[in-house]
Amino acid sequence: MTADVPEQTDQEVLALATQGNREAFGKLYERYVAQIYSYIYYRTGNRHDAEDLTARVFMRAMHHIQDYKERGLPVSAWLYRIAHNLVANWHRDNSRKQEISLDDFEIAHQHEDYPETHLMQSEQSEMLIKALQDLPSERQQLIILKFVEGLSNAEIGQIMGRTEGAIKSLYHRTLYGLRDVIGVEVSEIFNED
Amino acid sequence: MGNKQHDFEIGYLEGRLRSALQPVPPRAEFVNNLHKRLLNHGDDDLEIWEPSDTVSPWVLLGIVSGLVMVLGFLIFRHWQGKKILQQVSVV
Repeated sequence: MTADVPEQTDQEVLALATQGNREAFGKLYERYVAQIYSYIYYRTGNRHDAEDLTARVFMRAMHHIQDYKERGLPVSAWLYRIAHNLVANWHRDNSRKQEISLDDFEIAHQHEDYPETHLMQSEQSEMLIKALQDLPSERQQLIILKFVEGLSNAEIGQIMGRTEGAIKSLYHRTLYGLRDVIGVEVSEIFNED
Repeated sequence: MGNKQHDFEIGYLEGRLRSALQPVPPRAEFVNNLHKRLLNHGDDDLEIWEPSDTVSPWVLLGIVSGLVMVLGFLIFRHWQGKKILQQVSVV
């Protein structure tokens, strides 16, 4: 049986998917695969593992979709939680956290007409991502959800199971920590100005 | 002055993070293939091995049962050997 599910809300599509409608699950997949992949990519550092874990996220979601209990959580929060758990298992089982190479990251650069500016930005981005890698897992998760996924504190709170206030507090502590790690660089820029 | 510099540093850092951490799109081929797997194949195709956090109780039961059997066999052999030796010495 094929159901056409155009322009439906996530909850409406989810309701169909929980009844075993694979077309509906496919719709959820289309909506969230890029976000989940991007999140996992920044947590693992390479495309191969990002693809493998993204596939596992959606396979696990498909297996458990009928057990999904409506608790007011958006579908995306549920998927991010699955992704977070799988990434945590990946780090634990493979002990690869220290093995992630910066070379694996395809740092997004804006196209610049000036190579020197481009190079400086590239180095700064690499330094930032290296500092990000050294953060505890929950702080990495927060920064990635905030900047890569563009989520609000409230949405991040739903994913991480915390209040909006707790996320805001953790966010500021994380930024101050990052600033201290790369503080020298920031000071240098101030001096240049 | 100090607070202003802190705010500026944090603002600068947020800008750099926003610039460095751009979303990375998945390969179209990967997205399409996974979509097909999810939609077109049966549940059997979706079975994947995932390491579990704990050892299954059935595995534990199997290990304990095996140990009990081996131990029982060794005790039996030891007891039988003694019995045979006693019979030989009596003869």
